[in-house]
Amino acid sequence: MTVSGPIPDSGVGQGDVAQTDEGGGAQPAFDAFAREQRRALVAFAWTLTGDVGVAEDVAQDALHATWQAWERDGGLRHPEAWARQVVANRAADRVRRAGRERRALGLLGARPDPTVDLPTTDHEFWDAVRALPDRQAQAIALHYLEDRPVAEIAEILGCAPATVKVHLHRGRRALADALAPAPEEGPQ
Amino acid sequence: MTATDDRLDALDDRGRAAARTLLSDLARRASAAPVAPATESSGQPEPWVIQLGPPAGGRRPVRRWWLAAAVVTLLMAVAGAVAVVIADDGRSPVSSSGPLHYLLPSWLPAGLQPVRATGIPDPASAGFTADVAVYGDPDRDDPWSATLAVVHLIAPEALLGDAPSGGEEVTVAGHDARLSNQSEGLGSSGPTWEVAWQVDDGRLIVSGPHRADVLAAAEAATTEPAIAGSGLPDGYQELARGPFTDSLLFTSLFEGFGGDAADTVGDDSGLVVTYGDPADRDTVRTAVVVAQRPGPASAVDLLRIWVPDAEATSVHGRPAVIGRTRELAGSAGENGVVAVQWAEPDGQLVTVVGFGVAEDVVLQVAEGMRPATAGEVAALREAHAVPAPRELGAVPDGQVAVATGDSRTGQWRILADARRHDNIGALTIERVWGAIGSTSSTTGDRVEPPLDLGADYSDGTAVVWGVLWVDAASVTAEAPGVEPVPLAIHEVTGWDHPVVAGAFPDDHFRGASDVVVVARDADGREVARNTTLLADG
Repeated sequence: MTVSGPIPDSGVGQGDVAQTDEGGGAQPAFDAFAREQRRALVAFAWTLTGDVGVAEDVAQDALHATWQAWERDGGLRHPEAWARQVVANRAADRVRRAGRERRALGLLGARPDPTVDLPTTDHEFWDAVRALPDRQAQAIALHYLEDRPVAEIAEILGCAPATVKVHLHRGRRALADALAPAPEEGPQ
Repeated sequence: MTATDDRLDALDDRGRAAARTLLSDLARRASAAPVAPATESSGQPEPWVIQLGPPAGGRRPVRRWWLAAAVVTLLMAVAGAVAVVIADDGRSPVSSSGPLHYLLPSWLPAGLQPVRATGIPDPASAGFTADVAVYGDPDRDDPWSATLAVVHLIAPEALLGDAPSGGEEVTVAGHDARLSNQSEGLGSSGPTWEVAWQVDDGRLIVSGPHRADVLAAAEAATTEPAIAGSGLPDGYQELARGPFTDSLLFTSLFEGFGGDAADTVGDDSGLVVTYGDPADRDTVRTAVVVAQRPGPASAVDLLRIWVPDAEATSVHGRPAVIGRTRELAGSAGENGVVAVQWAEPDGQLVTVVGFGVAEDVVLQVAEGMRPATAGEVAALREAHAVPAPRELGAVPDGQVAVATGDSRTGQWRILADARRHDNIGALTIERVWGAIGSTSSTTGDRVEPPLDLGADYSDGTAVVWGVLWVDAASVTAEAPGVEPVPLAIHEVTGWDHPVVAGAFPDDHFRGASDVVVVARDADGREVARNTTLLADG
C-alpha cells in the first residue's frame, strides 16, 4: 500500500521540519515523532470514526505511511500535517467501509461488537461532528481537538484557507443547530 | 451580541471541553494496559514506539472488513446448498423469465485476459431471499442524500440468527422492535437510524437518517417490501427496488469473487468473468470483473447501496449508475474500485467493476460489451472455472520472508524489516488469493503483550502472526475440545525477539469459545497467554 507524495512546502508548523539524522539514521527521529504524535492521531481518528479500535488502526496505518514517506524521502518537511492528512483520508474510507459491512452483517443477525466506551467523552458532541460532511467534520475536529489555526488546517486538508473558513463556518452553525436548536419564534 | 453568537460561543466552549475529555479518556485507556502474565519479568519488552492502548472492554476490536468476508462466506455456504439441491433433483438451477443473453467485452485494457469464469450462486434456492425498496425525494439535487429503505428478509432461522437485540425497545405496528443508531445507512454516507423486527417469515428492517421518519415509515412498512405513502415524508417516492441478496454480490466482487461453491451452479444462474494479467504477482492488481444475472431495471440504482459515491450515466443507451470507492486499496491500488451497472432489455443486470482502472476505461469496457456467440460462454467457463493459483512476487529489498504458506487459491507470507525490529512496520503480512484478492497489513498496536499477535482471515485460511516477547519453546492456538494448532517460532537475524506464525483452516475453531494462544517453556509451563485474538473462534 502506498500513499501519495509528501505534502508540499507551505506554512504549517515550520518548527516541525523533520529530517533524517546525519549520523543516527531516520528511525530515532521518527520514533520520537511517533511517540509524541500517537495519541493525538488516535484522537483525531476517533472523532471521525467513533470507534476506538478503528481509530487505533487508522492512526497506526497513518504512522506507517508516514514512516514510509519519511524513510523514502530522507525526512518530511511537515510530518504532523502529513500524518493527519492520511488519518483524515483513511478514516473516511474506513467509515464508509464499516457502514457497508455493518449493513451486510446486521441483515444476517451478526452485528459487530459495540464500540468501546470512553466514559467521560461528550459523545453527543462528537456524534454531531461525525454527522457533518467529511471535510466539515475534519476541519471542526482539528479546530477543537488541536486548536489549530486555519492555515494549518488548510495545509492538512489540502485546500485553501478560505475554504477552511467556509467549512468551519458552516460546520459550527450546523453543530449549533444540532446541539442547541434556536428557539422557534413566537407570535409577534 | 446576537442569539446566534451566543449559541456559537456556547458551542466553542463545549467543543473545547469535549476535546479535553476525549484526550483524557484516551490517556486513561492507554495507562490501563493489561498486566502481563505473572511469568513475565525480565522478558518485559521495551515500549514500542507505536503502543496503542488496549480496549477498555478487554477485547480487541477486529479489523471489520474481515467480517464482511465472513458474510460472503456465509452467502457462499448458502450457494453450496443451492448446488446440492440442484444436483439432487435435476431442476433448473435458477428461475428466470427466459435464457440470458450474455455479453462479453469486445475491448479490454492491454494485458488483461480471462483468469476466472464462473456462475453466481442463487441463495433463493436455499430459502434465503432479501428484497429492498429505497425511497427518496426525486426533486432533490441528490435524491439519494436522505433515503428511507425497507428490507424484507426471508431465511431459515439458523441463518437469520437471534431476534434483533441491542438499541432501544420500541413498538412498531404492534411488534416488539429494536431501534438503533448506525454510523452509516443504506445508500447514504451519514449516520442513520434503523429499526428491525421479526415477522412471520423472517425480518423487516427500516432505515433512514432521521429517527422520527424511520419510526413513521416502519409503522407503514409491509413485507412487499414497501412503505405506504402515509409513512413517507412529503415528496418521497420509490427510487429503487430489487434483490438485496444481489447487493451482497458486490462484497464478493470486491473480494475477487473467490468462492468455489459457485463453480457447481449452472449457467443460467448468471456469469462472473474476471479479467486480469495472469503474470501479475503484485498484491496491487489491475483487473476488470463483469457480472451478469437476471434482475429488474429498478435494481440498477441499488449499486448506490454499496457505492454511495455514484451518479447516473448511460450504457448502450440504457440508464446506468457509475460509482467509485477506494475500498480494498491493497487490491486496487490508489486508483480504487469503479463500478458501473445497467439493465439490458432482456432482463439481465450487468455490472462491470474495474480495479485500479480509470473510470473512462471502465465505461469503455461497458460500452464495448457485445453478445456472446454460441458456445463462447461455455468454453470460457470450461477453460477458466478455477483460477490459476496466485503466487507472491519477489520479497521487497530490505525485508526477509520469515514464514510462508499456501491458502486455497493463493499464498501468504510474513515479512520482517531487519532495520526496524520491535517497531511499527517491522512485520508485514502479504497475501494473494482468488483472481484479484490481496492483503497487506502491519503489526504495531501491541494490545496484549507479551503475546502480541495479529490474525488475518482470507481464502479459507487464518494466519496468526506476531512478535514473541518472552522466552518460550512452543506456542499453540487452542480451545477446549478442539485440536490445538502449533504456531512456529522463527528467529530473525538482527532482531532481539522471535516471530510467531502459523496458519489453519478458518473454520478450525468455529463455534468454540475461549480460544486462546498460549506460549510455554521447554518444561511445558505457561509463560504467556493471549485471550483476545481468537476469542470468538
